[in-house]
Amino acid sequence: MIITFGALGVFFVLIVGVLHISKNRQSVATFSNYAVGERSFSSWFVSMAYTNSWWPGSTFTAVFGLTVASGAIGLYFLVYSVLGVLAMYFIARPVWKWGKKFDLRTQADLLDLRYNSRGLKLIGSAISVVALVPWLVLGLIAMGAVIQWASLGKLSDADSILIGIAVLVVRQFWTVQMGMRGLIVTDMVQGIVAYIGSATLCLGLLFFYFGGISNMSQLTEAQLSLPGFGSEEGGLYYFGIVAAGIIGSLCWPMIFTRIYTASSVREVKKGSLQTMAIGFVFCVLLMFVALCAAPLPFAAANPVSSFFAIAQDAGGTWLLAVALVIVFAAGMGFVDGVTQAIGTQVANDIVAVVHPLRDKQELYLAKAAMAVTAIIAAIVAYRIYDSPNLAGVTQLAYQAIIQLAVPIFGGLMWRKGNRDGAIAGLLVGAVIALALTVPYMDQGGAVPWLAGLGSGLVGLVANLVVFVVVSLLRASDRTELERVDQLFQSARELSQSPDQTVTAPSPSQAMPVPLS
Amino acid sequence: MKRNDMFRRSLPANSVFIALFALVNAIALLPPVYIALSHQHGLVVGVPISVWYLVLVSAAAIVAVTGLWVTECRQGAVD
Repeated sequence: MIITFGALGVFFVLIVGVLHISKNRQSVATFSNYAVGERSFSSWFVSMAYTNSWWPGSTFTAVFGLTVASGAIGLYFLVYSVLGVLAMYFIARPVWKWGKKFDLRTQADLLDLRYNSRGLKLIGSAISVVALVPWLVLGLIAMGAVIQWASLGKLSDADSILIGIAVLVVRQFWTVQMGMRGLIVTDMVQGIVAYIGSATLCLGLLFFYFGGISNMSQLTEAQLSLPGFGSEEGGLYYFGIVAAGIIGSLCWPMIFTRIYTASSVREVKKGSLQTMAIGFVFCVLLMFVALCAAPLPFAAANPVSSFFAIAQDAGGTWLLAVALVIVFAAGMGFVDGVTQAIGTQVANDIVAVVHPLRDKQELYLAKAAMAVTAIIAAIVAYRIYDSPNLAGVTQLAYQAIIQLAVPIFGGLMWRKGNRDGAIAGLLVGAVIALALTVPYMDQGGAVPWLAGLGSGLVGLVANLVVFVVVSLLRASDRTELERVDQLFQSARELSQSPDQTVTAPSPSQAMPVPLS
Repeated sequence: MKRNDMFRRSLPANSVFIALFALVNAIALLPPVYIALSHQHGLVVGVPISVWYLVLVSAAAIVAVTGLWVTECRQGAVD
């Protein structure tokens, strides 16, 4: 226990030390700096922050466990994660340029600017916040698993959860104080430990523990195949989970905000490339270990905790401590990112829409929202950590969040898309997605009579149709079309004055925004 | 060089990459493709073909976007 808890303690102290070193007055002087870290980060910080928000601690438990139990289908995480980052590359220019020019801090700010609608901003943010809370709860629960393994099984489930939550709540003190800058800087340290550390550990396990990848030849046909038509899951099940992942990747606010933290379009695009490469190497090695572990009886008996069990079996308590620090690092970065995104959205996109706030007030409100959310999530995590339906709740959230893809990507690609179309599509899509998910919660929202297609995708299609039809039937007036044209034109211009920032247009602004 | 001229010159190259990304997504997402490829279990360098398929389709996306990045940098289209 001294070795495992000692390793976790040393890493925690290291992160706190990094936070204090990186702290400066400028980072929290204004709400914009607090929310997007002064738009000052290079591609490596952007990519590591994205990776930390995308591959949480549960990757080593839930995803690893899925691959151990079910085989190759676990690699769907790799496919959709890599393809999902492509979207960041393609929307980098308009999103970053508008963000810089109009001081945008969140994806809801972008919706407000593009559609000139604060109502849409509020609806989008409300969906985001509601969808994020279950992930925060899951993150806290995953930390409990780390603590329980660190205790070598001596602590009960409940005690482990409570201690894990306590550690993260203590960590939140610095997240709340320092905002995005502290988050990005620590994401770099946590990311190096979590993903480079994991890749190194996995290579070691493949070479010295498994003696190569020969175990893969022992996998059964069922473990090596994706579900086809006529299977229990349905022939569209794999399509559904991968497509939803790709489309939904930039709908998560903590992911989208990474674009605004970069110092230029170049850094966003380069960061996208680096994110894909880091995720690919990390995930392939982790999944190869999981596939090699699948034939081992002790791993198959308890797939979710098999990553820890393999490390312990391979290298005793010391290697278990290494595995625990890796998962701890990944989990801490994820919980930080989610908490920060919730705080920013509550202050900037919900309360400030209903009741305009001064910069300082927004800053304080974001901090309070983060603190309150962390406490609520901690209480919920403690109460429901053994709930059998937790996965269903997160699937419900996921099916809802991908509805934001239509107003976000539709607005970036189609100039005639307008406020009425976006709001109508979002509401119709969300209602259909929820209505189809509830009866099939146990299947993660996969609809059996649609060959396993996800309910969120069904809602998404309806959402898109309504968006297009309503935008055409209730077309924007000439003034609005000119304003949108100018927005698109500004995104095409090469940067000339990087420090130029103008105030975002007010919701009632009828005249075109001065862009030059 | 004027911005519009630059966009016109980059159109053919961009079309190639658009087609490439569409192809990668089709290989990744079309049910007849993934069902057929994931049922190939022969070993290549010790790894089953179905696993290779999932790994290589992801790698293809990275290669394609790297090519686009290099092309855009050469065109001076990244600021």
